[in-house]
Amino acid sequence: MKKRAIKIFWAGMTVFLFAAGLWFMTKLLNPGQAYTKNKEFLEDGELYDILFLGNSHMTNAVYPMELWHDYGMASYNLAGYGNQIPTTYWMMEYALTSSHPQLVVMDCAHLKVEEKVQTKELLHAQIDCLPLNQEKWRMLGDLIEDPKERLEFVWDFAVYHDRWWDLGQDDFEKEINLEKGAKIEADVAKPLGLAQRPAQTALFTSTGTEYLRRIIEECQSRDIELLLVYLPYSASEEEWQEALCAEQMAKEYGVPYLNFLDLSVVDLSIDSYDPHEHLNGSGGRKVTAYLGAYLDQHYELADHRGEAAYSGWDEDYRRYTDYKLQLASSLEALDKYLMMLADPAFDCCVYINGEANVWGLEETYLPLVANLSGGRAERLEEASVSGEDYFLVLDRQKGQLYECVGEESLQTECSFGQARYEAGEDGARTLYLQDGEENYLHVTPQGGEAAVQIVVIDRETGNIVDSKRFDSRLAICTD
Amino acid sequence: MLFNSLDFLIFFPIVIGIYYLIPQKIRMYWLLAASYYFYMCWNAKYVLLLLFSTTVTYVSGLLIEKCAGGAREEKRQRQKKLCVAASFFLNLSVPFVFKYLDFGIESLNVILNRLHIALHAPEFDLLLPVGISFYTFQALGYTMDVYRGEIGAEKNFFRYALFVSFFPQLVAGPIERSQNLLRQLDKPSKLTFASLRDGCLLMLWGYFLKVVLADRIAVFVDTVYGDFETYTGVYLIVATLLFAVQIYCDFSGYSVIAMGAAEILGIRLMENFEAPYLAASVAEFWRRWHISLSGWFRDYLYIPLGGNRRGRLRKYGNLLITFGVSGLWHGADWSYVIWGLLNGAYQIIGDVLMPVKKKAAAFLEIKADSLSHRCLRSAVTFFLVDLAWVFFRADTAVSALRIIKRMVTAKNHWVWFDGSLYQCGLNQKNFTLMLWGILLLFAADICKYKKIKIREIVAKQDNWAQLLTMAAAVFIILLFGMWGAGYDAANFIYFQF
Repeated sequence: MKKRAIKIFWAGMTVFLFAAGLWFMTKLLNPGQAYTKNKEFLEDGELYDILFLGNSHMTNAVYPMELWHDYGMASYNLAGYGNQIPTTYWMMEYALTSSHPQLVVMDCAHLKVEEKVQTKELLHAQIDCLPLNQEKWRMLGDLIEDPKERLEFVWDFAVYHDRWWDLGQDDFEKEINLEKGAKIEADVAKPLGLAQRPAQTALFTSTGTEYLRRIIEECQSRDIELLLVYLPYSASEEEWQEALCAEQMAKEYGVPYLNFLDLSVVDLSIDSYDPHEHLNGSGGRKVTAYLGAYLDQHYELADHRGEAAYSGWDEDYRRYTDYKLQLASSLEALDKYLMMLADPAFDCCVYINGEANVWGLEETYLPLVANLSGGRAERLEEASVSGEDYFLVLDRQKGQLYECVGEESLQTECSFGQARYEAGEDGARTLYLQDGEENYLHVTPQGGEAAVQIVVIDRETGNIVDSKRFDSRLAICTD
Repeated sequence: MLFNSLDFLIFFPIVIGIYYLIPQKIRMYWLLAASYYFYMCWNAKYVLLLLFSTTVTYVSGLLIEKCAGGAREEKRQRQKKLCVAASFFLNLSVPFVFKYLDFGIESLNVILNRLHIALHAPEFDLLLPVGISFYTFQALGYTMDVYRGEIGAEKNFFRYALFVSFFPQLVAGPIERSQNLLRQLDKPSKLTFASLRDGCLLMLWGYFLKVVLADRIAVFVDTVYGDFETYTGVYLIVATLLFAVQIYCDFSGYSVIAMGAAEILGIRLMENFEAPYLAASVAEFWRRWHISLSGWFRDYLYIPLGGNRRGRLRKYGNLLITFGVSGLWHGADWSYVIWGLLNGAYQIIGDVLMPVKKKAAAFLEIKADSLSHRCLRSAVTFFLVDLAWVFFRADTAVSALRIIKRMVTAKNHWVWFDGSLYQCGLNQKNFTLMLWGILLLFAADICKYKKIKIREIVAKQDNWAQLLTMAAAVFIILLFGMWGAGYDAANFIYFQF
């Protein structure tokens, strides 16, 4: 009897140790994209009034932390890379089991697509983090045809055990998304260009439209307000048809609809992350700003700032801003850096050496410098044409912009302190900030090595947080 | 249903669970039903072929036994031979149609083409029934055993049907002898902790060989052999060395899983591999490699042909016939025939050179029983066997010759050192893991060679150590095995035979 009991004890211990080891390895080996992106939402879905749904277009275009900062809106970007509309439908269904949003904002891209899932890998990246419950089981039942294939979504060790050789620090210290599900992309690409709006609108049916109807009807049945959008990108004529079809469907159901292809919110030539589909940080901020104003105007959304339940959000925003700065600082290409600084969280001083051939690259860089100021830098072109030095101080706190061309000097009191720019006739240039003694410009009478020099100031704290110089030939950071 | 598939991992526990829950009287029927289901999972229609083979050999067994009494001796012998011949003819006609007909037609077409005869016989392109060569041979072995009087004809059709279709060894062996398996099916052992532990340990070792080693090595070998015009020289040498390990792990892995599964069901199957790459001669290799098949050919082909009893020339002829047929058994292609003949030829040459070797060893004062000499002989044997594997692995005999040529003529020795080997499907960490796995296999084979039973060592440990060993083994297989999503479980190589 005793022997038997001991055997059972050891068998139980073995099973326990085995299960614990397997559980640990399952967690460890999962690359964690899904966990990183949606962990915050899964932990407390009740906090969110607005859910943004869709695919990567939405992930890259709407930044909930900006909406929090500007309007006190509590939102989460639940969109996922490669989501087709059926996947989005099921993500919404899953989200609604733990969240009761007032508004759902849904991007209608890929409306024409017949497949429910783009690739299994992308679906993993979206749903691996979702704890298994009845809703997830239903989701898998609908999205994955082969029952055997569903198992890998129930126990993802079946997929990831193969990456034991790839384990690194990131796997042991998984980072959490600081952008409430969004993703700022830091690159600038030449876009393919937006096709002309087609004259004819053809209402079509597809798997996408079928599930869009289900989303609309589900929201209506639950009294959740729904805003359909079609986010901006270099859409082809066929993709335009999706936007127009979505418009028709929105009309049919009496749902508001924003077709960003029709709205001049972004400039795709500087706001594209890749040639075709995605917005970069600058484009995303513009869409977020537009959408924020629209939501503020058309919906009665609560301003949660100062509420106890949201006490951590200001700190979240602080970390989010630090993250953006860190991201910008890590960039070595001038175009990416300029794009990232087109952000209301930062003030900056920009010096451009007139002799440097950066002026020979007007198409690439000048629009990005202009973009920094929201198109208010009026003397940029003048400097470009004359080939003279250009200096810009952007004080967003005060809403002020100061420009110098050639040998003009400047001394002004900004929100972040005094800015003193001196342009000597001998060609020397100096910049002193906040009554400090450090000269931020490295331009001697013999000229400077850097074509462009930029100083970044955190708008909230007024601290100088970054300073970079860029090479005159390749516009690569030389720091 | 593959052993390394989810289907089997669900199927097997259900079979065991029910097997031990139901009364012993009906267990056999349950196993028979499970075995037929196992086979039908692959292709339900082809179960008729299995049934055909079973019925033919069952009836022939009864008829042979019936011939034993009554008539005159001469007549009885004639009748018995007739029964055996009919059984062989009917049984072999199935693999002939499904496996060899197209090969024959194709070869005929090539000959006609060479002779400029404008005839083209059509090919049938039939789907090869899984495991046909295995169960046909097992059933024919039974016919021969009854004919020789080594076993009485089985009266119970269901028991006999289970003997032919016993699912652990149905599709890839071992090819069991009727004396061993039929007797056990009559009265299988009871489930004990020891048999469960031993069975599980065997299965785990088999899974390790298959999914951690064989399937990992296959990635490298397939990459190189799939493009041998690009991957020349050192790549081909490494791939060929690794293929020897791959096919060993693949096939012995399957056999060991089969043994383990049978052990849990109270049936002890024969050992199919006994550290073959430690053999000191090609002849010894064949006594250690795929023992059940080698034994079958020895007992039912080589010896009936006269074996070594009718002079040296006849012996060599018999060896070549046996190994040629063995090659054909492995695959319907001339490359397999060449592989078989090459192995036969090695043995003939070895036999012819034996006096020379002995004299040379005596002259050079080499001790035949020294470890160094033994290692050297094993290395030479491995080299010869591995060279023959090129014909086995290459798509055609011509490709095999080109591969050997590229192995020898291409000069890219830096590939050993510059990390290029990690660009053939296995990165450095996977490659290193593979090497560690091979080292473990080598150590296990040395233990086997020295008759050290690792399972017995495990069995002597405390219960907790035994359980933890098994848990750790499962963990290692799950973590490092090539399985799961994105991994299309490669068919066990031997399924095609």
